[in-house]
Amino acid sequence: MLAGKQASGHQFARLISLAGFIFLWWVAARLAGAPQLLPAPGVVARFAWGQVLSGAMPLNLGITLLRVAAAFLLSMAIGLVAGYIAGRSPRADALMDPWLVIALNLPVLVVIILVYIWVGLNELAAVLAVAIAKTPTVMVTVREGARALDPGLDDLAQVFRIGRLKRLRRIVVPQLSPYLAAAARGGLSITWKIVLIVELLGRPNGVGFVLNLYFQDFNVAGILAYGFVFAAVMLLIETVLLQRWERRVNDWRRP
Amino acid sequence: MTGAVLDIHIDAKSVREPGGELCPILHDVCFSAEPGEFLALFGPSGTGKTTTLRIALGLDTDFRGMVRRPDVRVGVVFQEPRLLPWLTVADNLRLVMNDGAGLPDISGQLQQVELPGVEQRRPRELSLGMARRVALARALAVDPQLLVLDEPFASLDPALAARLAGTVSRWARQRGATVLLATHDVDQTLDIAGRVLVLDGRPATLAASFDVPRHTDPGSVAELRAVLVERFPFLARADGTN
Repeated sequence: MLAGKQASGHQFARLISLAGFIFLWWVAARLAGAPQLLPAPGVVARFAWGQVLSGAMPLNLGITLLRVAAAFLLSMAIGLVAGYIAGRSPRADALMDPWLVIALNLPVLVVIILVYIWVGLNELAAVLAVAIAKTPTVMVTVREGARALDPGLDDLAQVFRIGRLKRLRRIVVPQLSPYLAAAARGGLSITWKIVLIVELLGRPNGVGFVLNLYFQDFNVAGILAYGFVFAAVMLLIETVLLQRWERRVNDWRRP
Repeated sequence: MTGAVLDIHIDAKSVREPGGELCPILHDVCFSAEPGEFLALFGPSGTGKTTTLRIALGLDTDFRGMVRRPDVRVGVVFQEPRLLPWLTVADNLRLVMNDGAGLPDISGQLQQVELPGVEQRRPRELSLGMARRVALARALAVDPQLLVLDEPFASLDPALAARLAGTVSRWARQRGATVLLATHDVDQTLDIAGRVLVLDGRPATLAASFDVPRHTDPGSVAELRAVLVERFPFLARADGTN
């Protein structure tokens, strides 16, 4: 009861804070008096709505989301398998570690440019570039989880001869799932930011492409409209889908 | 010795100390268990009872010697309950049971260890004593031919411990199962064990092996107890009597 009241109180504070941000923006736009440089919130909202009605925004947003989803799934899958192996086998870890260190420290921009040069300016290269940039962080998180697996439960599974699949599903995945959830959440927020750069550099559509277009046109209202709407969509996915999943997998920990 | 369920010859077992040097902990531990035999392994805490059991189970292969364990179903109660906290008690039992076995009698298994009505609880809602009993039920649920118990009755109140010891003993006799039980509690064990092995020394070795006289004669069991306690004072200290 008390917790519920507190939560709704926090929710209210959040709304006030958001309203304050929009108000400040509005004041700043008035003071600047340069609609080209800093359009007022209402102008941006109208522009965004116009883009929604014309279908341009849903289309570009959808294309970007598809790229995000593909790169996200690819990096999660590879990072999961590689991280698990590295976490369970010190030798595999020693083999993979130098690659991991290089991959983690290579600037994302370098990866993107190189992949475009080597693979070509196509969809595969776009998804691949994002996945390559993202996989190492997933791998590091999952490796941490695999290292923390309880050896006592391995013994249990061995003695009672629990089958491989059952062992994975009932013993390993539940222990890894907090790490998977963390990797997914951190992964998504990085992925969508990288996807925009990939689109800006070499795709004929998507939010990143549109942003580049508006940059050349000096259309600040357009940049803000796409920026905020896209961020809002990603935030929604993060809080609604991923946080809920995270809470569910951690359910058994709560009293 | 061809029919043995377990045949174990540990010439030497060492562990690496935190400092890096090898420290021998077991030396010349050889015994075998015949089908239907109830073996009790005594020893002061820290002598290597658990290590011996781990070697017997094939969980520890880093030793000199050999273990022969024909392909038998094994049930284990580890020193800690080792239940999966994300599964209910019933699912913890189901986890080790064969999927093809039809509808398993989970509540019957729990009744056996005097825990009715806890099927849907999570391990964290159980006391340590209850969790231990669930672990025992889980070990019995696979209908093992070899049951390995590592201090299964520790932290249970003595009356309950005695009743569970009786349950295990009756169960083993009914099923003709072999039991290997590590403990430091003489009183609970002499009544149910068929043979007693004592692990002692540093590095530990098998210091003694006694057949327990048939349980029909309480006098002779008491006699054996007296002999054991005299030779191995730690047995008296462990249970706080004498």
